[in-house]
Parts: sequence; C-alpha cells; structure tokens
Amino acid sequence: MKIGMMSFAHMHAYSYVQALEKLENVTITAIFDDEEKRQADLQDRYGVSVDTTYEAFFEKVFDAVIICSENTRHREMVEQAAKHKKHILCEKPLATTIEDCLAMIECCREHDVILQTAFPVRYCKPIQELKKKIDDGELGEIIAFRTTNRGQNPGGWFIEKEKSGGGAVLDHTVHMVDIMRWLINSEVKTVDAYISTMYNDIEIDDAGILQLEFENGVIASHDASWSRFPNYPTWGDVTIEAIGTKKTVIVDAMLEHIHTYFKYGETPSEFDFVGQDMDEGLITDFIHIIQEHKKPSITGEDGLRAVEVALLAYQVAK
Amino acid sequence: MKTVIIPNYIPHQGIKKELAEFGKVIPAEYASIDSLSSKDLIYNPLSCFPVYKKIMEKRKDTGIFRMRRIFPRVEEDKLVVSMDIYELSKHFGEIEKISYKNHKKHSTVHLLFHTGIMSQMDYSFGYPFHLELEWNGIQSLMQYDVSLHRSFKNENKVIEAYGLNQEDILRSAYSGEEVRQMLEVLP
Repeated sequence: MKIGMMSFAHMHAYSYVQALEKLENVTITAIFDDEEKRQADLQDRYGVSVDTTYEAFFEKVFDAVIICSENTRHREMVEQAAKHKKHILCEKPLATTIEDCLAMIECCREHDVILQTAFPVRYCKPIQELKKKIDDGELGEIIAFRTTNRGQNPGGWFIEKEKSGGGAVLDHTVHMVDIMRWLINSEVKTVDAYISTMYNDIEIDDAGILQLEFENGVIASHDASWSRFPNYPTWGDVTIEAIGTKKTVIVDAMLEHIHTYFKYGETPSEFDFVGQDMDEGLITDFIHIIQEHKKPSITGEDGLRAVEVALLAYQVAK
Repeated sequence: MKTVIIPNYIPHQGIKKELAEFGKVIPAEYASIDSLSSKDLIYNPLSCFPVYKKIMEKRKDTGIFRMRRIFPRVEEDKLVVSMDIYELSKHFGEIEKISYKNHKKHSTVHLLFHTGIMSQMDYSFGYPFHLELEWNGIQSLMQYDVSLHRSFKNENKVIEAYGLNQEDILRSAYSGEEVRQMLEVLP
C-alpha cells in the first residue's frame, strides 16, 4: 500500500506518519506541501522528495492520501485527490462550511473513492469500552452526556480565521459531537452556545460552552475551549461522562499517566501519558478499509454532521 | 425551636439542631416549595462547603466555572438548580443569558454573566453523591473532584470538604418566598 501525504500544516500529520511507519507493507511514496518553510525538514525526516504542485504530486504512484492542511484547504485537496482516484483520509474538521462538506462528499461519490474523516477518538480503547457498555445496556437508557475537549491555544494558522474557519469551538467540538452521535446513533436536534475570547490575546474564539439536544431526547453539555495554559502539565483533555438510567460512567481518555514533580526547572511538573496512541487505530483502520475494499468506518457524512453542530454553535452564540 | 436538617452525605460537625425559633432549616435538596411552613427556611449546602468557599475566595478575573453535582435524593430538581444559580450570581454578577435543559433524571444549565464569566452546571438525581468544581480562569485553574480529592479513598465518606457550620447555614438560608423568586429564573 502506497500513501501520499498532503500537507503537514496540521501537527497530526507527523503522528499519522509515525503510525504508518509501524505498519507492514505500507510506504509513504509522495509528499505534497507548498509551505516552503517545511519542505527541507520533511524531505530530511522522511527521505521523500516534497512536491509543491498538484501536477507533480499526482504523477507519483500511491493508492490513498492523508490530508492535513489548513482547514479551509481541505475541499481543494479532497477534490484534487478524488479526481485522481485516490482514497482519502481527511483531517477534522472536514471543512469550514456545509457547502464545502457537501461538495467534497459528492466529489468522492462521483469518483468512487473512500472519504474518511479523521476522528481518532473513536479508536481510543476507553471510549470503545464505553460504547460496548452502552450497547450491552449496562448503563440503561442514556439520558445525557457531559463532555470536554480543552487544550492550549495551538497558535499559527489555527488562529487565522481565513485558514482555520473558526477557533476553539470548531477545533474542539467536532470530536465529541462525533463520539456522542456514534454512541447513541442519534443526530443533534438543537444547539445553544456561549462563545467568546478570554484566554488568549487573539482575534478568534478560544472559549465556548455548548448545550445540545439529540433527536432521541438525550441532552449534553460540552466545553470546547483553548483554556489550558503552557504551565498546565498536559496539553488538554478528552472526557465524556455518560449518564444512564442505571448508572453513570466517566471516561477520561488521556488520564492514564505518570505525574512527575520537579525540584528545579521551568515547569513544576510533567505529565507522561502512558495510554494508547489512538492515531494508530485510526490509521490502521483506514489502511485496512482500503485493502479490504470496505466502507469507511467514519464517513464524510459523519464529518459533515459534526461540522454542522459547530457552525450552528457560532450562529446561535451571536 | 428551629430544627436544622443536614443532607445525609454530610457529617454533622457540631451543628446544633435546635435553634431559637420555631420551624425548620431545610437543605435545598430536601425542600419542597409547596410544603414549606411560613417559618421554614431553605439553605444551599453548596454555599457552605469549605471547598466551594475556597474556590470562590481564590477566584479572580474572568473565566469558566464548571460544576457537576449528583444527588442521591432530591425533592424538587428545579429548586436545587435555581438556588445554585442564585448562589453563583452573588459571585459572578448579573446574569445575561440562561440555557436550561432537562431530560428525565438529568439537568444541564449554562449561564452567561454580564461580566463575561460563563458557567456550565450539570445535575443528576437519584445516583450516589458526587461533586466536581472547576474554575478555569484566565490566570488560574482550580479543580476539585470528590472522587479524587478525598481522605477516605475506598469509602463514600467526605469530611472536611463539606463540613458545615451553623453560622454559614443560617447566613445562606432563605425564606420560601425568596426561593420562589429564585425559581422564576428557570423556564
């Protein structure tokens, strides 16, 4: 299996490559990145020449692409890849407008290629265990969720609206909306949200709390903020509390760690995550889907549904 | 004599149950607005918890306040929620917007204050007691989780964080009419 990487603008690209390198019979044969600052480093790191035009990139031989560009360029790259008959794993959020999401889905359908949205949290083992408990009826009927996805301000293009399409709320809502939809197989019916910029001296939103109601009556609260400081021992969190009629279960996907406190040094403590790398699960699944000609586990429609909720949050918060 | 009633998850630390006036001092979770006598008072145990008071005392500037409360037993869900809303408004100022949703044994409330502070509170009723508090300010982050920050790890027992005193209880006690007004903020 040969893979082409399209852009390393999003830091997850490096983690996805690490996951690809662990797989047998999978090779990265092409890299596209038109950001000059990254090109030499990418070539040194991966030993693959970096193409700066689509023409040169698609002349190379590969079966699928992983797109990790700035959010507003996802559509352009997905359409290029689909037209060249390449299967696609696209970083989240799928796009920054509904129109772009729909166009990407349609283009992939027309060219008969797989479009998978990169929601790695679905591959997190504690989250999968929660799904099993819910499916087995251990929690009873699910009545509510309480979720968080907080982190540090990623800076760079993430805080430039013309490239990211939105701040913390777009960046950190889509993961948990996808997880909740997946857990209960129901769509979000209403969204309420308060959004502001309070933690960083930036133009784009960095704080947002959302209240959701699903079609099956389940209600949810979500915190999607870039509210963690550089001094905080870890980058952030991914948590979900599922409230069922029989019991409630709290999953903190990033909590398995060793906490080290230093006598001296710039940071008072360090947090070493010892849990599983969920990106590996995502990449392995994507490769298997292509190899076995299966339907994607997480579709373009899944990506669209999550984007819809985030965009609606911005709309109602105005 | 007024009798102070303490929720059963809280240790009775030197509370004099008999007070000088006739009537009862009832915690929010055990109160029912329609069955109060005119001399009964309702208090909010949250506002008396040392752990909550410490967070409010240390809190500065703006941020997001998140609270998770689970109650084994509650007479009126909305009464508990509305007394918490009132309690928070004493610290965070006037409320600009309230979003409230309820589904079966769970309620979620979001508040936006004129000061820019946001609050996200989740309540479940009919499960073992649980409390989490988080102040995520722009200068500091404070977190309290009863399941982690407790002296007795393997027993459902919390002592210091919820130790009540009579003075706090009476200071945070309201008449039925005052609580009726607090309830009006919820749809």
